[in-house]
Amino acid sequence: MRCGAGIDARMVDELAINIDPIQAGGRLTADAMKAVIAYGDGYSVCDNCRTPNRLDYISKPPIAEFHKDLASWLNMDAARVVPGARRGFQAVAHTCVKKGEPVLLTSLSHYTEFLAIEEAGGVACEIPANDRHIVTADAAAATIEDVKKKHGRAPSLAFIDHVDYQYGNIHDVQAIVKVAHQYDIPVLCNGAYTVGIMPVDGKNLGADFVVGSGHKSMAAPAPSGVLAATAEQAKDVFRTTAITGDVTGRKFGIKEPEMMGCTLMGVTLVGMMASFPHVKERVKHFDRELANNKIVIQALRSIGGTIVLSKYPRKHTLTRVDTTASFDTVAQAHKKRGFFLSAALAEKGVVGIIPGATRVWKFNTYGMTTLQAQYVAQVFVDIAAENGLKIS
Amino acid sequence: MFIPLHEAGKKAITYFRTVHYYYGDCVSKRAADMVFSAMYTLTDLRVLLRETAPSHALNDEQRAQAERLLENLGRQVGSLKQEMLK
Repeated sequence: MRCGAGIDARMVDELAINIDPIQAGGRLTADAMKAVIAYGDGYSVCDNCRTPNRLDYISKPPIAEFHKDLASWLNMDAARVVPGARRGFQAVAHTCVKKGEPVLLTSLSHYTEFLAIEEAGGVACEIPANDRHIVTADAAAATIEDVKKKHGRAPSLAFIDHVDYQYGNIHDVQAIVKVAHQYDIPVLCNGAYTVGIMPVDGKNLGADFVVGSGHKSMAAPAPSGVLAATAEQAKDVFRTTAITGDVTGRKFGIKEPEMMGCTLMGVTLVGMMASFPHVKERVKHFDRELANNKIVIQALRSIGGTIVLSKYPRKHTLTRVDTTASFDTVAQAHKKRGFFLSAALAEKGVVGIIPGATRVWKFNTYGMTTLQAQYVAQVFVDIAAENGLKIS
Repeated sequence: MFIPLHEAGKKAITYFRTVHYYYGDCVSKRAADMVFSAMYTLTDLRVLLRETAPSHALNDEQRAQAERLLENLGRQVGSLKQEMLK
């Protein structure tokens, strides 16, 4: 079935259980799908845009109220929707970092945090994670001291991942913020894998900025996200335009330069808004998600040679495993080589791991029903057994 | 306050033009409602497919939900036929 010339209708999640590590939290709710149907046209949220002509002032649909709710839900003072978490990083880096200034991030940081620093002209200084793949406050303090010695000044900003994308490990943002604030370093908490997945309280973390991803963790279409700030930081990052045209004398009201004026002007925003009540509710039940994750993890650990590389027991559903001593031994002799695992999974209705991966790979159980988790667990065990691996 | 007949007429024309601009006539508004209602019902069925993937084996509660949704869909398509083909 096609939905346009050369574009097949996508039925991945209708036909299979999708364990793709980055897609799980961004699957739309029914209400978001309905919003997509109604608001697919370009500037669909702009029907009732009135003076002062800015997205976060529109009251029909209730975009203004949504912005207030977002900030309050994250326990921050102000929030804006942005086209993906990366645009939040970009806005903050551009505001806080001047050319040549050092900026903290971690050895587990996402590449877009590096790019945000690069674009602002900053110098990336990584806090190394420990051998358990955790970034600690002590490591942050040591790195800041190193940076001071090397650059003659403290970093002008720190990007700290609440949960990193590589291992899905939770890092002690609160403790790292305390250290950073001793050096007057503002901290951006990257909640791309937590905002919309589990409770996030910006003030409790002490963060100056909280960034979330709509399409990764808030059941929203891409690209969408949120940038929330304390009142103190909001004055700068959400400053309004001061420019005037030299010929026309034109001014541009209260548009915000870091947001490039209005941000999400249609289906992305309304999808995010439609999912929001469900997202607010689902973060309260993250324990259920962890219980489903445990079912799958236990099955994987029962396959001889399989190692969970993420911190165990799991506190997040994104998990990295090493199956070099299990599924990869099968791949060595299998006619499909490394593709045997993804092919075998797909045959049984489980998709989402990188085709060809049999050594180190990631998966995410977020959003599954318990029956689906049990099914995925059994599928892994069955594939292992069918290929002669030892099950304990 | 007394409004002269021609003024009232002008107001009525303006009103209907405005309504027409946004919604068309009443018949097509109902047809549009039915199109959206049917698509929303189909969306609920889509979500049911997702929740039960990959076997799509429905339990009693899900079967009852599917039956209710399909009945609604039938009614919505029926109303749409009435509106658009009359």
